[in-house]
Amino acid sequence: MIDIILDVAIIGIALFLSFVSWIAYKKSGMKSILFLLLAFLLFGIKKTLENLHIIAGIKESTLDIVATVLELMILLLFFIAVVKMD
Amino acid sequence: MTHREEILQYIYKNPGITFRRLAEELGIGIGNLQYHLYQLEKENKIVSKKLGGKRYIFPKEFEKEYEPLLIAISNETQRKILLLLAEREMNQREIAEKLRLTQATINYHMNVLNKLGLIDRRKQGRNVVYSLKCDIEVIVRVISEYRPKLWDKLADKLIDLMLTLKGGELND
Repeated sequence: MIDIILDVAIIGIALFLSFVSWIAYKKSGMKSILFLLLAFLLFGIKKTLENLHIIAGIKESTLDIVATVLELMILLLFFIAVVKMD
Repeated sequence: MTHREEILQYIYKNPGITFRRLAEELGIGIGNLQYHLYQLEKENKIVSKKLGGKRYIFPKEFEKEYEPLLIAISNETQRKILLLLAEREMNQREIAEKLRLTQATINYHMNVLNKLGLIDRRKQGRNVVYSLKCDIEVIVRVISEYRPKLWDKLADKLIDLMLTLKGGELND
């Protein structure tokens, strides 16, 4: 039970950070912040997917592959956000 | 003098005053003031804009100046820069030292303020000195009333963090 509560908290924080990034993007127009926003959103999606097996009958091995791909994408987005010229 | 003329005169004396402060200082009821402001706006004598949950009121003559000013004050670093420049003119290095931010970060904000037409640049030897282009009293009044939301503060910090990470690689 505690792991579900922690996951819900993580999803909530990821969504809040996405919202903050959206405001920062609207204020500054910096494209790098848009990549950060996407990274936070994907993080929230990844956490949601990891918990899908509880409600939907999806194979854990499939979810593992999807989660790993998402992790790779998140890291790439963070990297692009830091190195991209605005 | 009618009630409405009194309100208009007070707005002319205090451009950028907030709705609540105007009601307090003139001792007028909220509903009554709302009605008069609505009429004055309809008659094209005043302009108003909501920001951070507050309504700022300007005389019509400020139409071109108020939008850039409200855009600028919605960012924490730009607010601080405007307040520093209200004290005296400064160069980028001095501003960066006072705000403990990188010169690249300050450079970005100075470019924004310059594009908004709120500051003047002047060459002094090898340095570029910045000064305020608009009314100091209006800037201080508007900034002192502004209360940013939590997510606005975090968004401003995120912008400065990204600017610091990128250092000197930023384009103007």
